[in-house]
Amino acid sequence: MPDTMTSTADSYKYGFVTAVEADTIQKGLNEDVIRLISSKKQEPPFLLEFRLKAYRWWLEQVEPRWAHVTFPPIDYQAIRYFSAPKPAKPKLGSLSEVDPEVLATFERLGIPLGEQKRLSGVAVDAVFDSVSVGTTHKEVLAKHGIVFCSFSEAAREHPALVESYLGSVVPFNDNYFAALNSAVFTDGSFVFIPKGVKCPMDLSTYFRINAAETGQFERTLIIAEEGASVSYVEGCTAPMRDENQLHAAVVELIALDDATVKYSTVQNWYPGDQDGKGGIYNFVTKRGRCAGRNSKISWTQVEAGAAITWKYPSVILKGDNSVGEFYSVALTNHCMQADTGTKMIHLGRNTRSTIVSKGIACERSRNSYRGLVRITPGAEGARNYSQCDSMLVGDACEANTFPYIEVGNNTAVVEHEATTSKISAEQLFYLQSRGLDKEAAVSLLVNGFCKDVFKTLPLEFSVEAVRLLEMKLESSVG
Amino acid sequence: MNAVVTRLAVPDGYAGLLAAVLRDGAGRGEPEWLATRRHGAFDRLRAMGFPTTRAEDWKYTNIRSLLDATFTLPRREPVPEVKSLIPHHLEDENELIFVDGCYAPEHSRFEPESGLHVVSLEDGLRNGDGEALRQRLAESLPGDDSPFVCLNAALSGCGVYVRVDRGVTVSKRIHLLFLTTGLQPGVMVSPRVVVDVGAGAQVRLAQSHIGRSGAAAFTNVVTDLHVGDNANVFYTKVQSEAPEAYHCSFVRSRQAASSVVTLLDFTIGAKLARNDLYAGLDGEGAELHLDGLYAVRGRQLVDHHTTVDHRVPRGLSRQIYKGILNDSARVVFNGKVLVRPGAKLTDGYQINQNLLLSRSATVNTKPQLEIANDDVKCTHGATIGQINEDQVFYLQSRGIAKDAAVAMLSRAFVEDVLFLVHDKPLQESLRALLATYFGK
Repeated sequence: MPDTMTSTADSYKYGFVTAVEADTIQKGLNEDVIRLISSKKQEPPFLLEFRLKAYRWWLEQVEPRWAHVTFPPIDYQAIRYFSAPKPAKPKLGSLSEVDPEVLATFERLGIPLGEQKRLSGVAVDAVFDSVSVGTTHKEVLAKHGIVFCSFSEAAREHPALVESYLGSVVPFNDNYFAALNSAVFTDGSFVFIPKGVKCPMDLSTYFRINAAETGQFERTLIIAEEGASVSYVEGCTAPMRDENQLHAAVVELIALDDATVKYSTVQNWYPGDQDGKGGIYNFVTKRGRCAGRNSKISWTQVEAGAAITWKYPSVILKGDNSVGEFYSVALTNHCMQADTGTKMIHLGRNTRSTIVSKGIACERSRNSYRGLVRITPGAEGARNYSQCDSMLVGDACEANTFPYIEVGNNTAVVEHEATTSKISAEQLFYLQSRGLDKEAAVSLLVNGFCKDVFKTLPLEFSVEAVRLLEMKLESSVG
Repeated sequence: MNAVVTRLAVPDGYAGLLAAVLRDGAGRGEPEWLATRRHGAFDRLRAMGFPTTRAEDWKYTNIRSLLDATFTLPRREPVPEVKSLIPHHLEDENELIFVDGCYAPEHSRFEPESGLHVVSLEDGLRNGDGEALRQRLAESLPGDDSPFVCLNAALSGCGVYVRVDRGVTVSKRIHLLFLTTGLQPGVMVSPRVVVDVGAGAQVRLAQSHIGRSGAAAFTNVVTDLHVGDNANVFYTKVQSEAPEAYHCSFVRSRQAASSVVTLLDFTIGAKLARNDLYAGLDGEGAELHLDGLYAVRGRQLVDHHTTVDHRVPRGLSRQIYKGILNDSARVVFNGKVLVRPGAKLTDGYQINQNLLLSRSATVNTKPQLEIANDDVKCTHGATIGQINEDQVFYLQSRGIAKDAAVAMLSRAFVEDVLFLVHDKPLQESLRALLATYFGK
């Protein structure tokens, strides 16, 4: 590692760059670039139409600035909208054809893609810059009729499914960044769980930004048919660079009758150095639609990276008796900024939602919870419980809470609670008097503070999340 | 996409109102600086315009109907009798009565106390208080950029200046009563209340806005409280305007060190009511109790926007806003608690609770915390729900009619806010006023 890297480097062990030959296009954005991306991916015509429609709408929009974050203007013409590690053949026959450097990168990130490693019990789709480089366990999943592949592959192999669901939850003109994504998205994961199938293993996507001056615009679409269920996990890292890189993804989840989709994120994008230089802008639109009766969508996120996190994983509770959940831990340190939360839109009868959000703000960071709970007049018997706690570590940080609660039906019961406080001096003292050093004591207390969220993560990721938080706090406490 | 309309032009008629106010002021010998101030405020208002629902602070409140209405300025007319207008008439207090936007000394009663100065704005500007008042009005305060505060500054005609000297405890409650009789349809009343409480002083103030049914008026009031060190202020605002009326209010309180301020905002009337409140804890160890009670029905809309601003260490704030909604009423609550970077050891608490009695009532609540210091304890909460069926059933099984049971449980729901009013006669009168909501 170069000498110039500071203490952030110690806490961000994923900051390396992999030297791979890449197929990269010119910087800038125009209709030709979009056509080029579409042709490189051999997409069906409807997708190009979708992209162009989104692009034309995006051109007329003004970049939104209402979030409680500050960032310099983004030059959308200085971004490369496509970068793929070479020899990315149009279609990879097997993982052995992937550049060994790329495979080594994922090994180093702790994501084994090799066939011999399939015992790990999780099927992984690995996205390197703009393209998916490999998906594991495909055959096992295929036996159950489950489709788990890169988005590009899905567009070629299952165009009918993609066409009917793409943009059905997050339309191309939903918001500025979602429109940009709709225009230039390069890859992502596609999951289809057919009727009555319980997915036998956790599915996972690992996103890696490698190339410089690129943005990552992936698109994930998960469809669970009647009675199906799936647990999906995403992780992400990026090299350390002084420039800011934009990550504007869109995730759409659809749950039909009695289906369950659980979506977990452990986000560890490069957050910039301790003075806020560089880092990823994580401007993501994530939304799920509980379309059917008794369906359930659950979001769990551990947001520990990115210079700016600006996202609201949401659930539209359309089906009667459907359930939406949001569990979040957002940790910000150094100069990181986070404006994150959720939206629960209750449309159906007896719909229920739970929001548990834990924010930890350290040093000079800014951590905001922003959420919306909307009970529409037709949502008879709806129920919401929200709890948003913030913990402040250091006297220059900021913790904000902006909960919007809109209730239009008197049979609804809505509760919102929030607390903000610093780590209890008494608790710290107690642990220190028992021989724990300050760092370990803080780490223990923070873990306790976040426990409600961590316990909702799949086991391996729960362990990972705890470790990630400890690592982040190491440089902030003491 | 078409350009989004984010502001609305100031209605044409308002310029005419300003001209009339200036003409009238010149006739009565209003000082030159006041006319300049009016012009300045009106220019600011014209530059910013009125907000649409695209503005974050007006997201749920559309004021187009207010801007479409035509208003006139108050005319001084003799009114033989006003007592019948006052539903919660209180004995043993000093009452300053304003009828349709004009001070009515003939109906007011005031026993002078030493150390207490109370003058109508008009008199204050003419006599010895003119300079102190000029200074107070020249101070810039949070909320000066609100369009309705600008409108008030441009058009304010009536008002009161209350000054309590250092160390004085005022024995009687001071009650400012703004009555709308309906004799002047479409009257726009813009009162300005300025209260100066010296160090260590103590005073109880009530400000009531009462309208007779059928009185489609627009009240746009601004109240500024300047509270000195160790002072103790109880301030209650009661809004029981006519069901056709518009009501905009901005209360601003600035507290010096170790002062205690207790504010109560009681809202039951008006078609559209917007209550802005700013409470700045400017001195160390200041304590604020901020309570709200609202009971609305029909197509009423009440919009509360409160800001509690902890600027220095060791501040304490307690905020409880509770309300009942029936029919198609709508309530907006946006409670902001700010803790500034240096305000360590702040203890903040805020809760907003709503009881929905009908299917079509709507609540939009946003309890908001903005905290920039780690050594604080802040909690907020919000709940929205309906009456517990089991409790209604229990009361019915004891022979109480359903309506009465619902009224009883609703009254109990807001009783804890009334309970916080330590001034017993005032508490009783508020309870009586609330009873009218339940049709008694």
